[in-house]
Amino acid sequence: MLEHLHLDRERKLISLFGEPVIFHCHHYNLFLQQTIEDPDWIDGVGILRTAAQEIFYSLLYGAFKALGVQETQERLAVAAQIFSFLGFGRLAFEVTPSGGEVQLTHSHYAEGWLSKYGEQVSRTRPIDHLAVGYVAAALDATFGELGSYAAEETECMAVTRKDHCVIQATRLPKPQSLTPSPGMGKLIEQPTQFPQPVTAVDYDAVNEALWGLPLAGDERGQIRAFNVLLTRMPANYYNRIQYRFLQELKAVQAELMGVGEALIRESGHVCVFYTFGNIMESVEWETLVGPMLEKDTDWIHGGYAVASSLGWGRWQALEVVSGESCRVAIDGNYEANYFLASYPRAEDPACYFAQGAVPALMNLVYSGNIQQKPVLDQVFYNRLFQRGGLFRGKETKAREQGDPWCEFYAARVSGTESLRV
Amino acid sequence: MTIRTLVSVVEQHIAGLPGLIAALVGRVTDGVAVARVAYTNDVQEEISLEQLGNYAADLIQANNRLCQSASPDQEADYLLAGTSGLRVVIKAFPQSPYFVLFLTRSTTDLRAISERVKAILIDGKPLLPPVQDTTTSTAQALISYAKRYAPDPNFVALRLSLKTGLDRNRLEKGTLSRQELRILYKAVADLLGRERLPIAMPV
Repeated sequence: MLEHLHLDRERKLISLFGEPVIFHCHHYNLFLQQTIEDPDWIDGVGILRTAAQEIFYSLLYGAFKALGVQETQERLAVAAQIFSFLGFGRLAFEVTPSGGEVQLTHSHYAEGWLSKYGEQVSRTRPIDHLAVGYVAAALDATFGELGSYAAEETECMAVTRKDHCVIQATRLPKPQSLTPSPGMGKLIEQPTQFPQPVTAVDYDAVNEALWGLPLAGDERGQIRAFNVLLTRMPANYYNRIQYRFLQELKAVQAELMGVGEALIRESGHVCVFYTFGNIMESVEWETLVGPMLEKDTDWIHGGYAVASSLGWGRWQALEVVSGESCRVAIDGNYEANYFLASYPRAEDPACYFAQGAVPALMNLVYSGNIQQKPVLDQVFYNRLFQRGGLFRGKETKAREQGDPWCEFYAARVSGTESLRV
Repeated sequence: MTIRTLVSVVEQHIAGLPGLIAALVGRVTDGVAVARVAYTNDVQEEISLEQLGNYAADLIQANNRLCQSASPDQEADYLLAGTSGLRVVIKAFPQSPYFVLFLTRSTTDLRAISERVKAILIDGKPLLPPVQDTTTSTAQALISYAKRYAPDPNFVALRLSLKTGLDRNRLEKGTLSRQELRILYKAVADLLGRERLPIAMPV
């Protein structure tokens, strides 16, 4: 499947069969999913499943067309292959046009959850909402049209602690009305020429090296790299779930919007802390970025060079003041690309992932002292917060509000202080 | 004139006890220390002491439940725990949601510890902070319990606010109606994947 990835070097975006795909780890995936499924007073699980069905339908429809696959078994095999390639586990379809059973092994969400929380918490509800949506999408794209099938997880290994999950799919009497993915979304016309950053880090060289890594699902359908479980997720799945979730909160209980936004931002913080932390402790970092690291501020630049290799768009630190603050531009961020293709201009800055990610990188370098290679576990993460004095961030320019690019500022603040820009 | 405080009572009665590492008076509902004397300046050990307070609170609650299943007016007596090198001695103030905890070397004489604990129980009782309203303290105990045992403790308050649909400030102040308290109980249990929690709901 690697050969089907399309790389837009100028915009630093990666796509698969017309859908933007980006790397994220199980820490981010689990935190974000839990935020959305937590409130019983909205249908969070429905948001997750439906978004997966819609976005993966678009991807699979594009794949079947591009690969010219017509036969049922061939289509199901491609669907299973893509699922594994993206790092979600392995699917075994036992289905007919009326529906059937699908076995899921090495589930990214279930195994990720068991490894992160399994010793601490018992789970009583299934976790594979993405896989449920994917199965419905695979049957939609194989036998029908978008919305023709519904699926349900009837056994989940995160609950049963067995070695597999089971998903049942049924054909609906009439297709439900669903919305396909906006694909690449509203792209920037031309990359903005930002001033050359003051750093020894060569962003383009880091990009090229990382783009060359063969990061794909292994025989278990998992991408185990940098000490985390990675997924190459369609960006629009994240976009759709986060924006629909916030819309729902606003409609049902607007006063809790701030809580939802804070938790989505935090998922970005969690992601950068674990994924980038582990990347910065890896041999690849030492070999590739290590020789370019002359000052502590170069660690921040190195982080953003990696960020713009993951399909997230063009991330660049404009200014880093050692231990104090940073200003970061994102030209053509994946969140803004989706937002502008799906909604009118935003009332408030809406790149939530980036709002959490930017202060997180400063926290990793200047509060977590990543240069000393600490053990990146939950205990370390919790202590970081208990000590206080962390960096916080703000989106100061927003493309989704009409600015030419998005810009973020992060600085250290005390517990009660708010960030001054 | 010297004003007597809980800390001064603790200091008075631990003086000269060999092998003492820390002594504290804590609250059973949430494990928080209301008076503490520790012979350590280390941040890690400070955090461990906080965890020890939480542990003691859980242990007393669990033991009280067991005792009360035998007879409603029974309470847990001395509780002992530790390693080959360290010893933890815990004793609850009678008819009160507070306890005394001593962390000592295992070589420290148990009788000496027991005498000093008893003295703190007697002299400290009039100085204990007043007990809060039951509903308030139950809400706070639930949140505190979740912060101790749920994943991502720094975000537990936000998660519970989202799960319950209740404002975060109200949750943290604990000013909830009975109905809201039941919703909070269910949310905490759900967060931890448990059917029951070791915190009694007001009747």
